[in-house]
Amino acid sequence: MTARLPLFLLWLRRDIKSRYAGSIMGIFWAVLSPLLTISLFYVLFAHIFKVRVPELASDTGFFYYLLTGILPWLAMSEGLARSTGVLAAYEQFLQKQPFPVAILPTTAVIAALLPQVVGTVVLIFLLATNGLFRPSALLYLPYLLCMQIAMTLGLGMALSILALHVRDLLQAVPISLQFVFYATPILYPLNMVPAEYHHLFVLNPFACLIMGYQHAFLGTSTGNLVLLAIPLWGLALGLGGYLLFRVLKPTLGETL
Amino acid sequence: MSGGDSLAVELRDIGKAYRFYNRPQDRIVEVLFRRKRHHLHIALSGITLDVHRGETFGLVGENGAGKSTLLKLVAGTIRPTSGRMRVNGRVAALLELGAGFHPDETGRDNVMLMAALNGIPGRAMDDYYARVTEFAELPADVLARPVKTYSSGMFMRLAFSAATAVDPDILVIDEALSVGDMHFQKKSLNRIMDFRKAGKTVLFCSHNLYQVRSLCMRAAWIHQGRIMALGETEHVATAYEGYEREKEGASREASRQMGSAAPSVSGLAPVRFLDASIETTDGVNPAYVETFQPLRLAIEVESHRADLPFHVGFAIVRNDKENIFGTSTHFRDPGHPIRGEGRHRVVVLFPSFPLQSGDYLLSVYVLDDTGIQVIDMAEGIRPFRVLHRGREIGLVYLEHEWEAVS
Repeated sequence: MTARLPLFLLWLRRDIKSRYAGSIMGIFWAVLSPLLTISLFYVLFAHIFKVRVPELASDTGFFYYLLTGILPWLAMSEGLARSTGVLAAYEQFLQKQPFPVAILPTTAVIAALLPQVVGTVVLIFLLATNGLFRPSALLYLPYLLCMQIAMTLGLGMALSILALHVRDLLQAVPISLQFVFYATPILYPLNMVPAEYHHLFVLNPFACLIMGYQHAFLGTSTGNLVLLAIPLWGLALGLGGYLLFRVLKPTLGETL
Repeated sequence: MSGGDSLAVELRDIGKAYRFYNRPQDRIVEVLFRRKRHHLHIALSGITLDVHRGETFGLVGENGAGKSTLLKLVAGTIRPTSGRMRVNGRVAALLELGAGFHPDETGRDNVMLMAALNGIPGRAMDDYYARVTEFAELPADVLARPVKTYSSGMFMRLAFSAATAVDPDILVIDEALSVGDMHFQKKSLNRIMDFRKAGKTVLFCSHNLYQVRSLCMRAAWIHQGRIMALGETEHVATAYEGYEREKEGASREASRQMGSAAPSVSGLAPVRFLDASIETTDGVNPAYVETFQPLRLAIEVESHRADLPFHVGFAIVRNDKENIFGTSTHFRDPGHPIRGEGRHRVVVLFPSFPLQSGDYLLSVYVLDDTGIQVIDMAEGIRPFRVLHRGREIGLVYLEHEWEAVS
């Protein structure tokens, strides 16, 4: 495992560098493209739909809410979308070069964290300058990040190997992620959803995690069930995905 | 297993089959309804073979025979469907040059990644990098450029250096020996030779039977996924050649009759073949040669590189491509290579030419000082006819005495 760490780091660097190679804005796209997405949602939902979050009465309250939820979402959805296709894309390569396969989906998941890291620093700075920062958020952050990585990595590894056999996943995963996005309280607070549906959100691991982030950073009220679901989802998806990957790994290179 | 330690690669009844499906959904149908929907493509079957430690082992066979599949199995990128296998030692695989290279990354970054891929720890990386770049002979400013800006020769040089600068116990090479220009080809071959000398195991496949013969101690001929011949290189290569000749058949023979039309390798070779002539008591390039005549074969070459010592070899070939006899200046004892710029003349005398009636051709080879790398060649040139006045039959007159006829 220790021998793989330098390889992983170099592969991660290659992944990030090569994605933006040749573009004028280079690595800034990693920040610029989520920034544009966030601006779009902000204008649309804060000023046209007039969404208000009950615990955050100030004008900019929705902006913080949006930022808190969308940063981990973008990291997870991008990580999943990219890891789904990564083994299919590298199938030929893996036949020609002995390579620790798990590095490929892991890189896809970890590289997608970059905008989230930058965005979270900005979020903390904004909250702090407006006197809204809760120091306890710094305690929650590593825990939530770990759970997020466990979920994304497990799911990403499973999807990457499944997509080799069921190529339809390459099409199905991105569109499914759009559905999940709207089924997750990122653009709207949970209280806008009819109460009888609230318990359904426990079934959405992304919703649980993101409500956890909102609770940690903004102090929004979140049911205990949701908070309990976060580690359970983390364990289930992380371990389950990893095991599925382990079991199916020998089928790699058999799909000629 | 007894004696396992002296074996680098141990394959026991290895089979490799790929399942394929007419439609992608058939795969699901098979899993869900337990109904067989796949077709099998058998890439390898019943492969049992040992490669000893320190051995250079060659694989020959047609395209699609399963050579590459076998190399991939040993390299560990695919696993066998059946059978047992053991690979004892660290493997470096050169299945495709630059497989791990990314075009947008610099030469340096690509080499560093190869170091990490081969598990070279941080401290040894700089040393590895130095060895790779020295061997590849690329200057620092080139190494700082993205690999996509390289010429294909530069790319291959770097890739070959990176793949072979690791210190493996077993080196697996797939058709990668003819890389880059002449000078680099020679260096690459020397590197393989160094591996051999250092007691490493080398497993490689090549279409170039001459290379296989010169480098390998043992070989295997793979045909349609099975071992057709296994053992001493000469036996295996000969068996494979025989098969190839049979396959090519008579159609080839006709075109071969054209003889002198066959050109030499290139006009750009640093040592060029110029001319070959046959001399007998009847003059230079006579209409025919008589059996038992003294025959002088003169080969002229021109060297354009003072620093490139070379050897000259030739073969007498029957018009159906069968080699009758061949030798080279490096088979002499001592077999010092020829040196120096300018024209050189190699003359061989057959005091009593033993071939009987038939049509023959010459093939001439200019080889490097190791006798492995072909610098220039001209095959199937200078057709000549031999007439035997006697009544003996066959290809060649064998010295004999009738000891008792009673």
